[in-house]
Parts: sequence; structure tokens; C-alpha cells
Amino acid sequence: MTRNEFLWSLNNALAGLPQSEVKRVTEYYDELFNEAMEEGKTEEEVCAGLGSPNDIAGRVRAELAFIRAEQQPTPKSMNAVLLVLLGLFALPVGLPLAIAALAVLFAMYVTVFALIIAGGAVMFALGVSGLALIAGGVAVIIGGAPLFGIGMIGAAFILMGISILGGVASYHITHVMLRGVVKLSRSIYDWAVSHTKKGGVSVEKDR
Amino acid sequence: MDAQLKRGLLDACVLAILAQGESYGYRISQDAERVMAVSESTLYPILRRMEQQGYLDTRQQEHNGRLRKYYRITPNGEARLQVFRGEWREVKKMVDYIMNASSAAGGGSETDTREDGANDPQ
Repeated sequence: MTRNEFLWSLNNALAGLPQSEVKRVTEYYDELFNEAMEEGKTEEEVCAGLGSPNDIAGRVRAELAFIRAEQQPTPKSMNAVLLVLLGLFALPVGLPLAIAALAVLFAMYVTVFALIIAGGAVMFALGVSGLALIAGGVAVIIGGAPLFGIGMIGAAFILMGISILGGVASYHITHVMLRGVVKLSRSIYDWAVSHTKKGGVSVEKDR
Repeated sequence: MDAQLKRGLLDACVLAILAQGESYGYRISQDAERVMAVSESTLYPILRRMEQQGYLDTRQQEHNGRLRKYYRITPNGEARLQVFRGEWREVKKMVDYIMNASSAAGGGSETDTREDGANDPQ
């Protein structure tokens, strides 16, 4: 493979990533060619040392997906992680093992999202009950029982306070859990990649 | 070697290399290859990740009529390296013990390095 072929394939294999990322990667490998060739290596030798552009692209994609999701676990970034894991099926790793790993991970995703939804629902219900209690309290005050009405409004504020605190807490808890899922995903990815015999993926030559 | 273990070690290696002064992609990979089996395809994602984590920053400088990208360790990266060294002092002790125990039948001279190793600043 020549230098141009290598860079062209790499560029193609990175399609879909932000343009700035693609540029960084191709600049990095272009620079490696320059450095190695200044030391007297040929294009073919450098290409052979670099491994396949597809492997490099896959690795870069995975790394970007994991780091984004770890820093900002949004549904979008989590989807990117899931896509990376689904990409593992393309590797010659044992299919049953890959399915088992994905099943575990899928279960974790479902659990975490179920917890998010359940937590959100409880906090929402508390908030709505609080609002209803305020309305009720106002009605009772107008109806001629001011003390009881004020009591109701006080209870409403307590409920809404719990709802807000609970909302903030569950936001942080879900972030921690999602980070855990990303970490686990990364481990599964590392494990799967290190169990493939293809070169240039993770650490291909054990000396 | 275990993939995750290797990842952690590789991260620390790159930080340790850059703690000695800024460097560029090709030289980092040459330095890293001296200690570990690492391919060029592994190194770029690591550098990019550590840049995003704020452990490294980069600058470009002209060299031979083209741009060369230099990587430099940040204070955050230094801190990470210190944490790593602290964590691994413990591991090093255990590994040294394991290595020496297996060679104890051969001769006792290596047992002395255990104490020295524990005080090694690296």
C-alpha cells in the first residue's frame, strides 16, 4: 500500500465522524509518514508498521464514543457507545461470547433507563401532588378554613422540595450509573478486541 | 496481558514519557515501543483521549517546511501520573514478591532488590 492509498482509506473509514476529528487523525498519520520517511523508511515499510486503516479508524471511533459518553452521558452519546459494541460482531471473536457480553450490557442499559424513568415519574408525581395541594389549600382558604388551608400549602411546599431534591439526586445517580455502563462497555470492547487475532487493533504483538 | 491492565499501563507510560518533556507522535511511539509492545494504531487514540481528558495539550511547530504536532503534559496530567505512581507502588511490591518467590529456588541474590525496588521513586 502506498502512502496516498493508506491516507485515502483511513479518511474513508472515518466517514461520519466530525470533520475536525477526521482532520486530526489524517494529519497525525501523515506526520508519521513524514517522520519515518525522513529516517529513510519506504512508504511500504511505514504502511506495514501501521496496520490496517480500518482497524485504526475503528479504534479511533470507539475511543471517541467512550470518552464523549463518559464526559456527557446523553442518549446520543450512549447510542454511539452501543453502536461501537454492535460493531464488535464484525470482529472474528467467538459469536456466543459476543452475544453473552452484549446481553449483559443490554440488560444494564435497560435497567439504568428503567430506573431513570421510574425516578423521574416519582419526582414528577410528587411535584404534581404539591401543585394540586396548593390549589386545594387556596380553595380551602377561600372556602373559610384558612388555618387548614395554610397547613395544606405548607405540606405542598414540603412535597415540592422533596421532588426537586429527589430530581437533583436522581440526576446525579443516573450520571454515575451511566458512567459505570460506559466503563463496562469499554472493558467489553477491550476484551473483545484483545481476543481477536487481527493485528493493529489493540496490542498486537506480545513480546 | 489483560487488556484493561495494559491500557492503564500504557496511559501511564505515555504520561511518563511526556513528563520528561514535550514530544511528537513519531518519537513518542518510538519511546513507548522501547518499554511496551504498542502499535501506532494504539497510540493515536490514547493521545487523543488524554488530550480530551485534559492530561495533555498540543501545539504545532514548523519542522522541515511542514508542521509537527507537539504533545505536552498538563498539570492535570502530572497529577494523574502521581496518582498512578502511588497506586502502583503497592502493586510493584506484590509483583516483586511474586517474581522473587518463583526464582527463590535458583538463588537468593534477587531478594535484595525487593527493598530497593520499594523505595524506587519510579
